[in-house]
Amino acid sequence: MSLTISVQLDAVQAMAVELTALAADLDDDAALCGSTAGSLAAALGGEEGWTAADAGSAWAGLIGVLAARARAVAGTLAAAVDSYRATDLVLAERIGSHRPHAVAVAW
Amino acid sequence: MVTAPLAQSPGPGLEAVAAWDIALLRGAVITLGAVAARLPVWRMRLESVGRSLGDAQCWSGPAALSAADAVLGLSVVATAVDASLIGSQTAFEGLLVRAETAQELAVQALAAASEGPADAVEAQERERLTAVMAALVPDAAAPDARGNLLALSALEHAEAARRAARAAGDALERVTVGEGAVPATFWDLSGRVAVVGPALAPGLPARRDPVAVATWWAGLSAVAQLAVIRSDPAAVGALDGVPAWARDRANRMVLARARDDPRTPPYAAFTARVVAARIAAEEAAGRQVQVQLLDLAGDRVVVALGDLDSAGAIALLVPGIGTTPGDDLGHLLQSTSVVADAARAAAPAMTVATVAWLGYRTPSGLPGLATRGAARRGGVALDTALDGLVAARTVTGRPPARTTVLAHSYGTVVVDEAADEPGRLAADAVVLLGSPGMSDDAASLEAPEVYDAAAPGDPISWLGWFGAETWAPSYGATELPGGTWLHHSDYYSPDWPTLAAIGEVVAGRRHPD
Repeated sequence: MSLTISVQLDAVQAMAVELTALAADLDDDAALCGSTAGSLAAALGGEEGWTAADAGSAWAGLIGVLAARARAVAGTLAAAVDSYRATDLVLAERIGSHRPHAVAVAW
Repeated sequence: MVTAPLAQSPGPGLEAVAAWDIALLRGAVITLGAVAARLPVWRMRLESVGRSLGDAQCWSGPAALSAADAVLGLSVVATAVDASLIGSQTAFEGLLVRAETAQELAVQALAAASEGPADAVEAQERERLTAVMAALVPDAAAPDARGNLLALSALEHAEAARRAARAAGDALERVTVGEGAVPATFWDLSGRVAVVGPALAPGLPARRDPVAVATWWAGLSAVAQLAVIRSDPAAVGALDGVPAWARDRANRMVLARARDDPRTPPYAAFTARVVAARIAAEEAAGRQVQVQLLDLAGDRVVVALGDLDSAGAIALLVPGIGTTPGDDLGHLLQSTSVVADAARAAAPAMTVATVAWLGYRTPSGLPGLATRGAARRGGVALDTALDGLVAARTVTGRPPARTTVLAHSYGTVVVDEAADEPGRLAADAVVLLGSPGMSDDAASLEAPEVYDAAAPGDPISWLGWFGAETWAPSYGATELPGGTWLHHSDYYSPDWPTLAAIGEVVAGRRHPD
């Protein structure tokens, strides 16, 4: 089976950056929902306040879970880029080390 | 999760309701609404990353597929969370309405009570109301008769507010576990949403108006969107209200199938070859292409240069008689390209997308070219297409692009008919080029800006065949520069000043008189 593996490292890196930014956006919204839950409790008080605040806290938690996942995927992509670069470097050194006499080549 | 108070009271007393801080509550509900409105936009950005990973242009191989799956899986879960938050937000809005009313009535009831007992409530009615109040608030003392109705009503609204608060939590049931607790990890959450398994293509929306279509599409997860494209690309590719990237993907599938299928009728196959060749040529020249309509049987094709989903300015070129995709797409795309260049020259920082809009079958001979029949059919299609461009953005909270319709010759009659369709024409500017006459006046086109270009060397613009001469001051359009010897097919030519002026209109850098 023939398998094509290709990668544009800068493009994948850019996606990792975008995913990191997306995670940060949701982190902000999760924090906002958390403080809003407190406002709901304070605004109504009593059982109504607690019930509404509970729902608001769930908003914060759910958005936080999405943010954490986006950050994890971003980290994986960034690590993949680093790994590709490191592997390429190792391969280049390994291939080069088998040459008894290094020859300068101009392209 | 917030810890509930130990003692569960059956309901708040009047004083407690009167003390509710409605301003604080309103601010909280508005904040949650803003968060809910941002999530669809966030999903769109995420899905854009997922599509890039899945396209194999920047990354291919097993790891790339896993990465694309990871992003799509996140999108699916985000879609479920999004839907639940919308339901919860609706309940919060209901809570606000009820709480506002309850608080206002409670204040009035307490004020009435402080004024002392009054006359006119019969003992029997008072007894009944007291019993109802006792059911709502067991420990409450019988309120003053004068405030009974107000108090009862306040407590009923307070009870409704309490139910709405519960509903705000219940709406999250699909994405939470046990009494509103949030799943600890993404995998726990995705288990609730059931990401795993083949995606069944959802059915197309029952209503086909652009807003309904755009709303339906925005509610689908990324996996479901891809599934419905694969399931019925011809339908998705023609749906106004679906984002441009999805229509492009669907129409390219239709194009590939038409080219591969030996049963494709000869003329449709010819058109398909022309479209494919033009896509290849434009992309080879470094221009982004989005195929927005591929109706080979109806001889209608719409191709955009640029990204319609994100462009700051959009221009649709509506051609006149005798223009067909098979014979004229290349020439029309050339005009489309020079208009984009002119717009960028007028506003270098602006992102521009221009559209070769052959969304109607142009008349090619008598009697068609002398009647409005083709224009009426085209007008309906153009009106819906413009609405679709707006809806695809606004349902996800993004502002629409500045949109200009550039109509040439008989194409101006198409715009005339489009403006007659119900609802406002969704264009910021209309430019009439060599018009053979229009009904009514410029204001009837419903666009804030209407421009006209005509020339002594263009006899078509002097015909007045379909109504008023658009260059006449009484029509009310702002004149664009031309030239004495400018001919009917020269309006997009760089040899005349009209093109630069068109670019300024598209970019919003030129203003009407």
